[in-house]
Amino acid sequence: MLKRLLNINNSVLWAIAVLSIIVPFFLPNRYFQDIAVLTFLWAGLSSSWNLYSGYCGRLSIGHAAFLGIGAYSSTILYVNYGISPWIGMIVGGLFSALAALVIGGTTLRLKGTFFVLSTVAFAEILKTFAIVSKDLTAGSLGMMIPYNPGFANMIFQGKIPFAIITWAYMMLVIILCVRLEKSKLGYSLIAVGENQEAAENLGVNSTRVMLISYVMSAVLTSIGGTLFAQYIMFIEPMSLMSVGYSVNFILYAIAGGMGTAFGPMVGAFILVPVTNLLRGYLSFISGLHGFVLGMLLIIILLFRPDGILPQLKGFVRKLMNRNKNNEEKGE
Amino acid sequence: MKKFLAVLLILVLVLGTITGCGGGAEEPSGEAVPFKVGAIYPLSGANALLGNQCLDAVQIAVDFVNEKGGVQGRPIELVSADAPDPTAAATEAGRLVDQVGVKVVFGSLASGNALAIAGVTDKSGVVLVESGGIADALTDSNFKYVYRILDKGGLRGAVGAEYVGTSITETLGIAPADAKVFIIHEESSYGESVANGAEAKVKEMGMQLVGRAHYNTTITDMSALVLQIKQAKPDVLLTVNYVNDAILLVDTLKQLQAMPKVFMGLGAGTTDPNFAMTVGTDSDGFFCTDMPTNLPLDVFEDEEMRATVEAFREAFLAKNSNLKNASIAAEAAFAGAYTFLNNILPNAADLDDPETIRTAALETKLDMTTLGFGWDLGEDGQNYAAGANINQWQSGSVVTVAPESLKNGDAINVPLPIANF
Amino acid sequence: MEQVFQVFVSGLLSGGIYALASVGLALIFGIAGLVNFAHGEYLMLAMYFAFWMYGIFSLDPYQSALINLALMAILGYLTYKFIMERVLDSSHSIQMLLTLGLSMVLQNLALMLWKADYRNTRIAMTTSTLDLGPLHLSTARVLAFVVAIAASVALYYFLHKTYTGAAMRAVAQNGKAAQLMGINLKKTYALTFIIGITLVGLAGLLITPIYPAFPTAGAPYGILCFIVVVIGGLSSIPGAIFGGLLIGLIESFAGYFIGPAFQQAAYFLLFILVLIFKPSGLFGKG
Repeated sequence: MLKRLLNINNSVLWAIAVLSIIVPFFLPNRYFQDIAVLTFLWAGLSSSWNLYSGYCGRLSIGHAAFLGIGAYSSTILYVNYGISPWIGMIVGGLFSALAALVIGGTTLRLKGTFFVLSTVAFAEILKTFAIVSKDLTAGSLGMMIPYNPGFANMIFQGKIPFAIITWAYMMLVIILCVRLEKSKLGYSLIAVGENQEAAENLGVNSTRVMLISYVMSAVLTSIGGTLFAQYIMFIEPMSLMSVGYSVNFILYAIAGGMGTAFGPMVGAFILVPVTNLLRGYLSFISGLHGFVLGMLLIIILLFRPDGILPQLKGFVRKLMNRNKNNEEKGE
Repeated sequence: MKKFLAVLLILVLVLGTITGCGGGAEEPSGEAVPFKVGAIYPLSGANALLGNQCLDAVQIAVDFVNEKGGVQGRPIELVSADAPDPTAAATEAGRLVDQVGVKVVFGSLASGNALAIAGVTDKSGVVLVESGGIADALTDSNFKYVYRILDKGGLRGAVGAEYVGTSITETLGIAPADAKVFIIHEESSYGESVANGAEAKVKEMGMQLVGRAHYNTTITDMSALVLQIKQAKPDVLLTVNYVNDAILLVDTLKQLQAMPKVFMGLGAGTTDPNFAMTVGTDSDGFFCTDMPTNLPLDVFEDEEMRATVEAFREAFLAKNSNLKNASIAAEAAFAGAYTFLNNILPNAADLDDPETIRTAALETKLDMTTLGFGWDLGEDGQNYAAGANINQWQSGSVVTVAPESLKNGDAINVPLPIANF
Repeated sequence: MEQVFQVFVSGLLSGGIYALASVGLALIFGIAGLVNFAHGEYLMLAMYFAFWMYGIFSLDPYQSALINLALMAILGYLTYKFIMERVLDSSHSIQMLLTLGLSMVLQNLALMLWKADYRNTRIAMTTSTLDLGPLHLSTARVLAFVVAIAASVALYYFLHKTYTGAAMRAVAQNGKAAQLMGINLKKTYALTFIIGITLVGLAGLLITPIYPAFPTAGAPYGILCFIVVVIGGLSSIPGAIFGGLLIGLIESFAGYFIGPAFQQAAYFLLFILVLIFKPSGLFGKG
């Protein structure tokens, strides 16, 4: 099954993705704009995760490591040496690519739960490294980015510039995913994910295919990491590189639909606002938002394991068919 | 189809919530416009225990001030927020500032959260009254509206180490240069900053630092750590923990017979009533350097303040019936909120103008707050009247043994009767 | 030298707990092939049960063990019936994410029901020690170790000497063939899951006197058990026992010689090395 959903009604999703940039301009205040920024950011991050794990069907629960590498690279360069985060973002991307080559080189041939656990292990080792390398990362004290607005510093007064940057980031990743779906690399990746041996028999160099997309996924995540650090302006390893953050990547992708270019975006568009609003407005019951999120995940997986995107697409298609039928009847 | 409708319904609900709440903070007309304040604490996640206690304490402070007629005739409305990690803290700070329209935020227990919150509130001219996060960076970062009632982490570590280098070495009958000190701390920014202050002081006073180690609070077996201590045979153990790990540490020290002559905690974990309740009589003689806590009521000369402290303790224990004493985190949260609402804000010329609140915060000087020390902010927003006390557990209660002015008992059990070397 | 021996024994003792918790997972994951990322949360629930039994009925965790284990078995059955049975044929990814959701639900449910307080169960054994010459051993940890090893060995014999055990192993090796031979697949899966959860519950109640119950108490064990099972060679019960002991030892030695901050990183590193050089596990076949 080669993702038969690929081309159905993608125009609607394109429209949603492109037009979503209008939303922050109409939100009443910075709190909602903040949620919009986080939504774009997580949509981008989750799509980056999707680029490898989603299409290949091998889940990484260690992507917070690349988030951390991106965030720390640009922050260390900016805070200690005054180098613009735009450059730091590229440096972070290079470091992440390097890390992905090392991690991927050792673990990509693992399957299923083995691969999952190895990604967790690498992320935890990197987290420990970030905590103990106090001279480099200030350890668990965390690093604060001084508030010094300016484009070169990637620090802005309002939320809107960040909304635009994070939206652009999300679009970049989605476009790459769409391109990937139509490329030979993408076909090979999906084929490897479905049946590695069969794909290899057809002449696919599975190691190469997996490694390329894994590195791409890591670099894109790392770029998101820099944006993350510049936006929050404070980073520390305990939460940034935790398994909890790694799980977020997956959660949004699963909710929307893994292995589809727009799935993670749809998931993030729904879940990021929902979790933030739940935490915001129901904080008097501690634990409720985590409980609801977990329940949601269980329900989606038990009843809609493909995520809600196929459901949405089916609905739009039915609508269109009905319109067509009506038109035909009209004639 | 039905299922899809359900999904659609959720979507509509979400959008509805957004737009429904989107009206922003509408001010009701009339005389008594409520003065909105926020409280941001970790209410879920690993630090939820103390976070919820702090929220209780702030709520009590707000209730007390409202009973007295509010601030400048305006009733206070408290809005709480859950911040399990710094990112959530920043988002929630944004909600309180922009959506709810608070002018003052109380927080935040974890230093990382405090820094993330300050990044949001300070730009908007909203005050953060910090009574939990002790990382030095918070008041060293040029924030204008961040006021910290409690002592800095570095200072706290130094106070503890200094007491070791003076009073304790004297009692033990050894020269400071012969005193062997081992420092352990949990590895978040709280443990790290306190331990750094302690280490600097230990070296400055010429004591021997025979080891320093840190661990994650999720640790389930401290044998390896304790064996390191046993190997180094220190006279004094300086330790920064949360409650859970502090208990595990003491259990393991006893089991492996590695208890040094002096055990001194430098923070919340070892000062928490749960710690002594759980450890039992063996805690007799454990020092805990911390903000003043569980002070005898006669320390408060002002009658009204004494009544307030007493009423707070009663109200807090009513909400937390499993405790014997109010925890230090809660006492600090109460002191921060109550002092600010009761003593500082009434002096502000205009409650809606952060500049006048800042003026009031910096110009108001108090000899005493419910926390046992005064209020005297520096330009950086740090309360320089804040100090750490040397406390000691004696028969299950905290006794203040230094400084002279707050002291209500003498140090006992130096060296500890259960010491192994 | 004495010191090093003590480090060794301490590591071995905590390894016993890891072994017991992991043997449960070896059964569920290695033998039944079901991924359970909420494994640690069942350990947490058993700790809470033991705590409440002590708090309300003054029964110490050992006295309340049978009730506790029965409760865990029921809980295991319910989880199997309402969640796992629906995804028996699904991919490991789906099972993993599903149980990840389950672990979020259980952790936050505990937080909502019982607050975040640390619930200590202090009995005489909590602080008592056995002194063997220069060695000082925590009585509770020694007891936990002995019970853990005994339970694991009993499980081994159950799997190899009884018909039901043989059926479980048959299902593990080839589900369809086993079904043809008249083994009820679903029943066998259910039983495997229940025994696995009961064993991790046993581990939970054994550490209750040493360590408090709180909503995230089980979190460190979830991933750890998987690592132990993989190192041990998946479906091998002795492998899981040795894997658990090994992780305990590594934690202890890394903690002593490098520093407690490296305890976790050390076993993660070992895990990666095993995956690279002997992906079938240290005690696995082939």
